[in-house]
Amino acid sequence: MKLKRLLFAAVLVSVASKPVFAGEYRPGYVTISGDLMHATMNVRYNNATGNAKVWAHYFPPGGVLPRVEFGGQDASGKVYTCFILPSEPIYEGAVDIATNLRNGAVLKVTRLLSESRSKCTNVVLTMDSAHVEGLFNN
Amino acid sequence: MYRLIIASVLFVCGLPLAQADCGDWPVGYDGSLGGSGPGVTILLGRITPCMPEVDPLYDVEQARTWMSYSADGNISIGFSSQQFFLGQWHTVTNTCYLSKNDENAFYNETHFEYAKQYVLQGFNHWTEFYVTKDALDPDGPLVCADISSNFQNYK
Repeated sequence: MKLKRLLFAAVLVSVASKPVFAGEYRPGYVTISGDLMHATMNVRYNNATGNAKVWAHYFPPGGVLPRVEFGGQDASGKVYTCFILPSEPIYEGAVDIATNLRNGAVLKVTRLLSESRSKCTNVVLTMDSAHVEGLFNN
Repeated sequence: MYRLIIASVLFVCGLPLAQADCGDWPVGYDGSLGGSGPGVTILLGRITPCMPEVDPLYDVEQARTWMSYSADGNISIGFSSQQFFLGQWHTVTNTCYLSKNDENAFYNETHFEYAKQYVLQGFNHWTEFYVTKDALDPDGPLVCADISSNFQNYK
């Protein structure tokens, strides 16, 4: 009987303390199509996307092959990768983006499809409030 | 009867918790567009996922703020919200731009670098952004002028 009362009380408190949601929210995703990858860091919170993930690897100067790599895997398992060498005009910006991916980030990458190991042709980082994950969006 | 009393007490005690979770956000707007001044239009973005009250003129469920940085040297900052006028809801979007390669721009590389840092640093639930854009030349590029941010413990 006491247990029932406790459960009843717990339900009441949880309902009463539920925060009010506001602001647009969009579940995370990774889409790969041809030379384009669109991915959000909050994809990790979206169970519907299965193993979908996104990453950026920075290999700084001084190593064997300095470069920046961007990649991702969509819900179907399709993998996307491309790289940028220090000689490329977008290298500096790519390093900025690769080392600053965080909660709320949306990544858009384009690459050359004509090469077996593809070069990235551009990388765009967008910080979007609709993709800030955490306190209230779970 | 005593169950009803216990339930009532718990419910009333739980209400302040709801306010605490949501924080004491000022009644207002999220990702909204601000007013204008001489020579500039003020854009205001506020990342507020939680508000205790909703201004009837704004649909905060649809408000967004975004900041974009392209590796080839372009920045854009934008805000959008739903606003009610002329008898219906409208999505209002306001965006400004910066380009590292724009030789005719009035801003210099330092300004671009500062703006870039804002994008890279990102934001969280407590961030407000204040951005102005040049409205002197309405036909020209809508350049982001001053950018500032404010972090408050609203939560």
